[in-house]
Amino acid sequence: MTKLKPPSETEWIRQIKAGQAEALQFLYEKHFPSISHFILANNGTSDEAKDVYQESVIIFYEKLQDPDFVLHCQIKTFLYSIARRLWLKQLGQKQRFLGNIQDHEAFLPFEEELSEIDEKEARFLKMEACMQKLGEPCRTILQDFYLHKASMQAIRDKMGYTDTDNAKTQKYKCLQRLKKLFFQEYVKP
Amino acid sequence: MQDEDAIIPKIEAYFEGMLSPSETVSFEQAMEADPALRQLVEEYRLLFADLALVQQRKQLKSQLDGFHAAMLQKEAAAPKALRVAKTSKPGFANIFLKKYVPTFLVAASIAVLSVLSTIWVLNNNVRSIEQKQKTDLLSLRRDLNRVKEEQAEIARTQREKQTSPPVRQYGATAFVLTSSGYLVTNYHVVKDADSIYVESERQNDRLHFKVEVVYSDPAKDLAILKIVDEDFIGFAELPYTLRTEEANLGEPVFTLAYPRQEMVYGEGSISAQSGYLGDTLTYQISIPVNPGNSGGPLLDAHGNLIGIVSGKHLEMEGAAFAVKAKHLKSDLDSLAKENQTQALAMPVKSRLSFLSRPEQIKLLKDFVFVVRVYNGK
Repeated sequence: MTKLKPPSETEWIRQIKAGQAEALQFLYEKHFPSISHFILANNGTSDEAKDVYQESVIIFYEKLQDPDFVLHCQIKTFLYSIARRLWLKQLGQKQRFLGNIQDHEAFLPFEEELSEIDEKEARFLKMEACMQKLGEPCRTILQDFYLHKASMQAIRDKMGYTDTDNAKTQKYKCLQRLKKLFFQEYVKP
Repeated sequence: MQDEDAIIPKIEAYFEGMLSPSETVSFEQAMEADPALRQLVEEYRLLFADLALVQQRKQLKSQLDGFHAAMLQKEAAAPKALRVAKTSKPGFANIFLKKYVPTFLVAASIAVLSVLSTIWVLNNNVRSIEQKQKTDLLSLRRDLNRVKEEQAEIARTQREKQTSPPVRQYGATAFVLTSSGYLVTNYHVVKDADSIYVESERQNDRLHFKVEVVYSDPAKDLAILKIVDEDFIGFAELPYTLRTEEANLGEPVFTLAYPRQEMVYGEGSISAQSGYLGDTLTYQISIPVNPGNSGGPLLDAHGNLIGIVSGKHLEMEGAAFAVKAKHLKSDLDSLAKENQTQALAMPVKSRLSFLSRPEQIKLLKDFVFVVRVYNGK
């Protein structure tokens, strides 16, 4: 890890964008304490701290994939602001909000990002719900192929199809069913 | 369009870039020609995009889970190492003390210093809490030429001395109480005034009167003004009347005032029957007000006067305050007693009761004035 002390955050961001797992891991370990502290100080458990933090890191990672995205603050501030907002929302949903948030870092409102984050979260949850509704064997086939990137051969063996063409035909049938579910409650973004 | 079963593999290949260049071109041409196909491709585009999103998130999540587990492992390992180091030598405590005494001394002095400074800061804070609360309440006097004056002051200090003192000018609102020329505004508007004028625009004519404060009540933040111009003959009969009974919570109210050169109308409702910090002299109203609104009349739906807008909460959005009309009534009574004159009679009956709001305002607007306060100190 010692050689991974880049001069600036820009350098980090570049490395993370380039898909270097070590850079992401370094970032993950560096900023966890601050956010964990925030969640624990505000009525949360360490498991919740982990979930909220990971969600913030995922959001940050996804933002980095957007070529137009420019970070206008420190990574720490970005993560803290997003985690703070996620946690406030969760507290509201869990009805554990005590009306008094203890902050120990600067944070920014990120109005624009937040609506985008909410929208992505909604898309994510909806796709998961559709997958759940799909039923077997379609769920396993599509999850293996699209989410776990399994090969058609592996799926054929697992599901017991006689050949890959059969498996493929089945996969496309499932895809059509998923599409139907997906558009049943589709709201234009 | 062909059967959907048959076309999906092609659509997927298209999105994955698995079609050859010529196939891509012909596929795009087919889409161009067939709106139904285009629609289908678009649907699959959305579906694949969300599948990709879920895939990426899940993969990233499992990667982060790995980081997390590794991190926890490292943390678990770290304190153990420390424990080993502590017990490794017999005379460890002595060496440790010798080595770190200077550090301890520095740390102790910093601790003492920080305790003292904390006490100092706390003391100061406690003393200023009352002051802070006061500053939450913004009196809505418009500081018309503050900027101008600040500039002038800079210029003046550069030019050394100047003979005439600076003239401060404030703007606010006042409205007519009697047709004989009494008006009311807030005390904070006129409290350090040298001379006060009221102005109003009538069609093409601009009314401009000199007034004097004849009664001031700092506690209730009210000041009664009387027009002293010789040209003044009297106002028309007032269209509104004083409503002294307490207004109800949620009652719709409106106000007219001069936060700028032109009259501005604002409406809202009585949002609390007490004002700033539970002050029972005032109502809290949900009307957006601005500097210059001070002294504006607060009227109910029937055009009865129920208060005088006086201030707003600095840190609360949409919370303004208005002095209740019954306090104005008691001030009018004591003014009459002081001057040994007849009570300053307000009309008994409002002429605005059943008019629409624009009609009410048409009748009202001639009785609302800009107050200009000049202060030579």
